[in-house]
Amino acid sequence: MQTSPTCTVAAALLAALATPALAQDLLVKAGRVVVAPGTTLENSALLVRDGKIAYVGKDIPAEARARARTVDLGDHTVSAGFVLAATTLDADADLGEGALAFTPDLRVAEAFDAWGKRLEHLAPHGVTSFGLTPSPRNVAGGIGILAKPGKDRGRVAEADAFVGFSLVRAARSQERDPTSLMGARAMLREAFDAARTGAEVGPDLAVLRQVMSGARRAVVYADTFAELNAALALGAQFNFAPVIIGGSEASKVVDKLAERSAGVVLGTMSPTNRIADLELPGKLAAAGVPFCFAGQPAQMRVSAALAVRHGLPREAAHAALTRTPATMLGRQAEVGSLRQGCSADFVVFDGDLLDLSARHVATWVDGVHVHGQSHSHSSKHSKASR
Amino acid sequence: MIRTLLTCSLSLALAPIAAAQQDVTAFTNARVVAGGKPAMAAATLVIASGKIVALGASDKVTLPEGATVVDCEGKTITPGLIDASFMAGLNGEDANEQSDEVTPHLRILDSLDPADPMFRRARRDGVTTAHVMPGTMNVIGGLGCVIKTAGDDPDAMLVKQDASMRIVMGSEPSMRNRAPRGGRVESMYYRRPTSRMGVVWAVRRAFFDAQEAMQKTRGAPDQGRPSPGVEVLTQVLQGKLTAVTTARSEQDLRTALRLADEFGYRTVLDEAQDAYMLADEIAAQRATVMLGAPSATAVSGGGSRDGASPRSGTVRALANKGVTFVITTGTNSRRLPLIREAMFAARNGLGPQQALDAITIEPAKLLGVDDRIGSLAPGKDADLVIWSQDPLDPAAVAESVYIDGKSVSQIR
Amino acid sequence: MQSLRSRIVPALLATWMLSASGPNAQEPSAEKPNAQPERSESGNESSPSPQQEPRRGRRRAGARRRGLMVIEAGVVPPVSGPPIEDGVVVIRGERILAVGRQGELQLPPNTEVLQFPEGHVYPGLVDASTDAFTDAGLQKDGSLNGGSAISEALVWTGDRDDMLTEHGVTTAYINVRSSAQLRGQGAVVRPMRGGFELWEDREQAALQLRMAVGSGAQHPLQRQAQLTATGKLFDGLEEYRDGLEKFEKDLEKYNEEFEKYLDHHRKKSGKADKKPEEGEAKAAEEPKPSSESPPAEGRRRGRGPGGRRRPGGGGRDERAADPDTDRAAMEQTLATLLALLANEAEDAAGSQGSLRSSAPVARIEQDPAPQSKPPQGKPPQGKPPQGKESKDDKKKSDGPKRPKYPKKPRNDPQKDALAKVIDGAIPLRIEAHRVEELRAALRLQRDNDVPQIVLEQAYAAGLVADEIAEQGATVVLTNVMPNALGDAGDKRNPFAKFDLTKLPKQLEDAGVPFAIASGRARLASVLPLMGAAAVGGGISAEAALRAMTLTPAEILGVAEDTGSLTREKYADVLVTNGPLFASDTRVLLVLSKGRKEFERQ
Repeated sequence: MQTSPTCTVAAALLAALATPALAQDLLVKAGRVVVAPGTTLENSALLVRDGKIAYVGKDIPAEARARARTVDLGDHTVSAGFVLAATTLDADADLGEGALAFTPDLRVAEAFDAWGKRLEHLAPHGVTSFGLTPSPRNVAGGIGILAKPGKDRGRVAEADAFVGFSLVRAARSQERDPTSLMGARAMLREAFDAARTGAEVGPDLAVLRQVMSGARRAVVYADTFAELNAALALGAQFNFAPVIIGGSEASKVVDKLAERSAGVVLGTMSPTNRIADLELPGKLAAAGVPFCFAGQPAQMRVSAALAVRHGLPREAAHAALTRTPATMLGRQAEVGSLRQGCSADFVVFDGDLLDLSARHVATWVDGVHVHGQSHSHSSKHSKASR
Repeated sequence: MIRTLLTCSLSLALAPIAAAQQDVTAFTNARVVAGGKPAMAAATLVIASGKIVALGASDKVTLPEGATVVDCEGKTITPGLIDASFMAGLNGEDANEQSDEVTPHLRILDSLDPADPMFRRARRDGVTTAHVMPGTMNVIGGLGCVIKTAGDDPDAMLVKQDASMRIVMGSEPSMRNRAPRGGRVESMYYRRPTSRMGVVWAVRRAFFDAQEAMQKTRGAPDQGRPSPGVEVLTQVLQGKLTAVTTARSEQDLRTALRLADEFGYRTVLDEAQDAYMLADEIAAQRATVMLGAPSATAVSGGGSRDGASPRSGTVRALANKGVTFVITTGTNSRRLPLIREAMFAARNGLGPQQALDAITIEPAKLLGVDDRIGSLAPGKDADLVIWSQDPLDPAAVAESVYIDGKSVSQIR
Repeated sequence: MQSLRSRIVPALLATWMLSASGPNAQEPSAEKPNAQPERSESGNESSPSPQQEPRRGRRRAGARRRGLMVIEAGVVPPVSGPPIEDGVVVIRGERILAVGRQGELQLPPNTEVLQFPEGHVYPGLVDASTDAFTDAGLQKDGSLNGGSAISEALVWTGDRDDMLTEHGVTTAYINVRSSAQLRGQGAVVRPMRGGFELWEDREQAALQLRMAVGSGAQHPLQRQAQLTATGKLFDGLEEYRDGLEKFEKDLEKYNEEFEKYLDHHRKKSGKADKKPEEGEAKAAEEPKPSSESPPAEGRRRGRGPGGRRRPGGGGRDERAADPDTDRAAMEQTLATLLALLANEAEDAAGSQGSLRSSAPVARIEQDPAPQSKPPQGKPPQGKPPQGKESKDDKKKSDGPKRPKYPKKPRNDPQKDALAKVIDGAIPLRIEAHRVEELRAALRLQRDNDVPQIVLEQAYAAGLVADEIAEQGATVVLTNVMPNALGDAGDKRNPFAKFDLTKLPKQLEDAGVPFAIASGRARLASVLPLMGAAAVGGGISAEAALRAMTLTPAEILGVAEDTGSLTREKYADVLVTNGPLFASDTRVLLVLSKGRKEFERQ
């Protein structure tokens, strides 16, 4: 429909060429390799095998190094690709079951459009994986996924990543129950209660049981003071640490978030935000609350830079783009860093990506180049900022 | 005499601890209206760690060492006021769960925002505890709670979680509902009830179901727990939970009493603008009254449709018949501070002590929290208000307000 | 890291030091006495007063006593030259005395030296567009016009939006984005910790024009119609100025003729020459209407009660009441006096005629009283004294006629402002976004020979950069951030396709001077990030720094005093703990005219 048949065929062929089975090992050399926030290797390399990081730096065996195809990124900096912790890719209609508010067992994976147009806006801004959540219009929306953009089409990396809940106004204004915050809270409380005490439970309550046992992560859309209190209270009562999405009034509950080990997915920031909002990431970091940015993919790096400008340490800002969101979704072993065994998802910048003077050069997903320059010669533009 | 000795020894015993804690405050030379008894002329009140530790005549109470002394010469101290029907600034959506007319198990506490400016206003006016109920758009709205008016965590502010269940008579519960027209249903508001009769029907149906459920579980205890709504209604039927019926006009008040009689529960009549018309019946059924704003001449919400005609003499009529009642701000659209409502009542035939009791110890008893708040006595929460003069004076100002021993409002 | 301590330098140049802290040290403040800070709560009071009353400021005394201040830092990019490693900036009073390499400059003993071994020293930033010190009412005031002076409505509110100095901004140009087309004249101010001061002679620094069409006009032709209408901005200005000129000429002529007229009567009356002389003196010191009165009226209109008075409403009467009335009234008294004198002369000539002449005198005495009140700005005509006079003239002499006072054209502050633009006294700053708007702005310049225009925002300037360069226009960029105008993929947003971070590079390539400005006071803290984003867009860090310091200073016409670390300029200094364009760089110290405005503890 959106793509002509020839395109599709061509894309399929390309995809086939990129399949791991046929792929040669890839040696990615760069001036700086940021393996994880705070761990940077100078003049180092990554060995990519089957779309994963096989070896990092000195660990690369000489014979593998010799056999691999080399991509020399010059003096550029390589970092793990950004992880967008929560998004609906503007597909709310497909990700929220309109007639019912409580649908914890619906699966987002079944509504994932691998060819969706919105996927094209991720890699150009450095996003290499994202949590696709159910719509915030449902109190219990369903099971979210970890997905990735690709060269031509996206793919589901983990179909069973987390459960999405919502207490925000959108969940309460749909001309069906609940219409109030107390109604939404009661709905969730009763369901969790039933899941805890009931002998035999259906598939929906089974999902809640997994949340209580810690087998499944819970993300909760909550914005206002009252909603945040509600999300935290629910977590405290049923023994789980929620990841809160939104949190526009999170500054009022910083201590409580720390106490309950809850994380916050903040909206991406723009320079016109109030100073208090721009300073919130720094406050959360100081209190030890994990946080990251989600919203407009294009604004992720700007948000981090703004936060650094307003008091956030660089390392924490880098973590907020990569490792923290991966950890929030329980996928830190697969994405969010360039450690051995992780997906070869990385972004290439010609400087520190937290300085806006650095330019985004390329994005690679699963060891495949998807955006920007495919391989670099030594950059002729030198940073003369000092 | 014995009491004074007791307080002396108490304060002496507490002195070392208090000195260590450094948070002992003594209010001296004040006129104290302790609640439930006549005013004391020159009294000293000692608080420590958020509790009252001593109260007595100034020359009898020994000041603990290291106490902060506040001289209240010329001031009056009362217990923190209790508003038994407090309208928090909840927006319409969150105060009412509109997906159903009967939602007995929903807790208004779940919707409360502690940062609500209404709480700040309440503190300024000397109200330290509020009874917040769900909105009036449902027939059975849910559970009200008693909370302190200062804090940033609803759970920490809580005095009593499930203090009451609200039933609403009159036109409000049916106001937005529509009967389906032309067989089309486009909104969840196309449903019952649409009339006063329908409202009563919904209440009767709910209690009938609860009775049925009670009988069933009695026969077969293994059936599992009843639904949460039925559980709450059962508690009301068993007298474990207070029912508050909001009714304004004479006919609604009668209906409220009739329903309570029919199902054998006791109810508090909320708002009750027309209570003066049937004071005898109320007294006979030993119902209590939460009088919504004695000064109200116009009834907001539902308004004239409910046909109530408030009278300023209602308080006297109720007092004369021996009806237990408290004064609230209710849904008075003019939003007078609670203390002014008491003043209004006092000027319309209520004794000054009775008027103050109706906003302190009486609501505490009604809500079942008089063990902690409502009067000034050793061991109770240090919720108190220092008034610039007699609080029933129209110029009285709540100069300092303390909740759990912490100053929450200062006017200078 | 940064040690901040005093250092004693051996007493090599004690005498020099003496002279430095002696009379010479006062030199700068003697030159620019106005530049002393005047911190006050309201903007109106802080405008420099014309009279220099002795100030009670402890600051003045402090500045004199302080003498020298020396800042040493790892890197000193002075903007006017290449960056200096291990540089030093020497400040005396409110000016920079020297900039150089450490060790090259000999310092007198007991000099306070602020050392920032890791730090960077920049010139204070110049924000070429901000809405600081304006309140919401002013920002939305749609009744602004070209005559309004923003400088007269500035207020210090002390909220975080006003804290420009703590982010290193020491000079700022204030304008507002009201819906009006001509949005008044912006002001250059020097922000400071407790307020701001207006930059002398730059209180009305530029005329603001909004060329951007409203959101209502969606169709390109509709937009074009709006732009064409804007192009008529200068219409009628020529006539207005001609009118003013004509008035001046007429006035001169009138004075001459009146002189002749008086002379004639003096000769006629012979002895009575004292009183006419008085009248002559008064006529001579009559104000020259074109040069002095317009600014005064502009002020009145800008700040009128509530600021909402309709132009030409109540104001017209007020204006009409001023000089014309005075002149008319005076003239009438003069005429009465003359008539009396003439009568006296007649009396002197023949005492017998006294009986005859007593009646007219009485009439004359009676009549002027009611007439002197409602003259409505018109010289008396056909009034008894004159009537008698002319009758006398006709009868008795053929001397010069009494001249008529010329008609004065109505003052129009907006036209006065436009005239200043045409004369090149102030630039015309035009907000324009789309290509057609930018072209319309350039056309406006060409068609009317406007000497200086400054384009604001200019999102599409990359597409017409060469045309802008050709006409010598400059550009003030705001929103220089990635995706500042929305997500590039957003089809509904007509501006989303413009990447503003690339714009500086495009302008640089075309040779258009550009400044990077915050645009809003709230964004002052983000200004360095905007510079960084511009570097990311392709320009060098030096160019980006220049776009936030020297270039805006040039655009604002204050480059003689600020914008770079150069000898004799104001000591506007920004010290940071790292390169300005790194995200985690913090401001350590801000000096404005040598005063500490911000210091990180």
